[in-house]
Amino acid sequence: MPNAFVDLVPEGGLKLTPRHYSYLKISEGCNHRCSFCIIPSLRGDLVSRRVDAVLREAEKLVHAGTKELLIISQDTSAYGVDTRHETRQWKGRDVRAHMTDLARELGQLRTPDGATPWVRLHYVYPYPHVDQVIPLMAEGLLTPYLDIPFQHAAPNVLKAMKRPANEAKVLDRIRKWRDICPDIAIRSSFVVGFPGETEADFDYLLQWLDEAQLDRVGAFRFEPVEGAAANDLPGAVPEEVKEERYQRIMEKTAAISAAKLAAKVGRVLPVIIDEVGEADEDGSVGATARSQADAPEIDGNVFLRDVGEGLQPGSILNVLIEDADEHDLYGVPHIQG
Amino acid sequence: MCAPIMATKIPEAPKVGMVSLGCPKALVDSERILTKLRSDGYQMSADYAGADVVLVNTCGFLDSAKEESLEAIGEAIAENGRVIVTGCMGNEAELIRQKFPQVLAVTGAHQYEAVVNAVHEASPPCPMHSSIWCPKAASS
Repeated sequence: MPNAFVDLVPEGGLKLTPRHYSYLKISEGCNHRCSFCIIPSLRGDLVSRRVDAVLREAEKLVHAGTKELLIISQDTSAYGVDTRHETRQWKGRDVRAHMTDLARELGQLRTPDGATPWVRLHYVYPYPHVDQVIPLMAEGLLTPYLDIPFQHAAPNVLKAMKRPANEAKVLDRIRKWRDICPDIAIRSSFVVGFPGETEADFDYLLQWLDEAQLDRVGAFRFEPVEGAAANDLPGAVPEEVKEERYQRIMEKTAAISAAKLAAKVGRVLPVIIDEVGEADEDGSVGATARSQADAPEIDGNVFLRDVGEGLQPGSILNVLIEDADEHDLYGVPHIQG
Repeated sequence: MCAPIMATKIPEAPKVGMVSLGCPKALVDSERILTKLRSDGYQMSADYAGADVVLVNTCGFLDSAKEESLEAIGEAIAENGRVIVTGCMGNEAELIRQKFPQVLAVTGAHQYEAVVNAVHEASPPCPMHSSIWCPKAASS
């Protein structure tokens, strides 16, 4: 049966994001059983898409105007575990369903005007093989950005969460990642007030954050979600203590973020334009953009002044960073010469 | 010579509204559902008033997110009335039906076929369209 309406569907499918960035989901479900999370009961165990299907979708999106691909799943670094990393042909090459292979191939894509699209990895579980993608960032194939939820640092809290409890090694690995790719932006999220979290555990987390110097941090107050194993754990943390710890972690991470952003003042960085403003009475136009360290919706912005005519959402250009605050940067287009 | 063309009123394609809540993973589900519905001949509506049926793609990760999802379902029912619920809160169909007996269907996360079928049932696609616009039929 021919279907006339297929012609009405844009090449990359119908999107709910702006044209210049797209989410690309590579798998569904999760094999982990973190005690605070009910997603496996909602979405089941890991089911990975075929790597050629993922790459074909990515290519279509990039042809249709996407400049930035956001790789998502429930567990991006587990990609292909369920299919034993099944190999498929792509552009005459054998490609495994594996995060590293996928990342390398995504880095070969080119926009219609020949540019390398930005490619971000989200929801990366801290497996050892995550180390393999950092060199790809240093080579420019992947955007130097890693969204890797650590959830906590204190070993007994991580154990109660049923998470890998090798936080000291994680600090070593972060150091090595920064040696390989100094500009890597690391985003993570943490739960405070998890059952059994003592004041000492929380202090340990704050000290760990001082060491780790993460670029972007999201924090959540523990919530007992119906059906989660963590609800039955002893040592529930009172609401007011959770709130106090939440305020303290936010304060700590805001200070780290402010210092990291302040260090970017004076540098020239590539940004992608999200929105171009209206001209003000002097005729100057501003724009809202993001650097490679900023994923859409969840991270900060780079606010630009005097961007001139003809700039479109999705344009990528170099800007001189002039100012910074806790979460955002401020800059102006950088004219070479 | 041109033969006179009979003016026949082409029936309007049903319009679907979408309220997408939660994380980017849920957003991709919304995109896939809408892509399928578009290829089935549905049009999209950007507001409640213009929609024949409204899909609410819910988040069920935290209790606060569930609250927000229930609020969104309530708003869609008040503003439009014909509502299909899908997504991560879909496994709590009983709670949703208890609160909002009017919902037309409740489907779970990652159940694209179920939600698309529910839309077909609530607002059948117009079969006329594929014969009028079928490019193969037009060229042969």
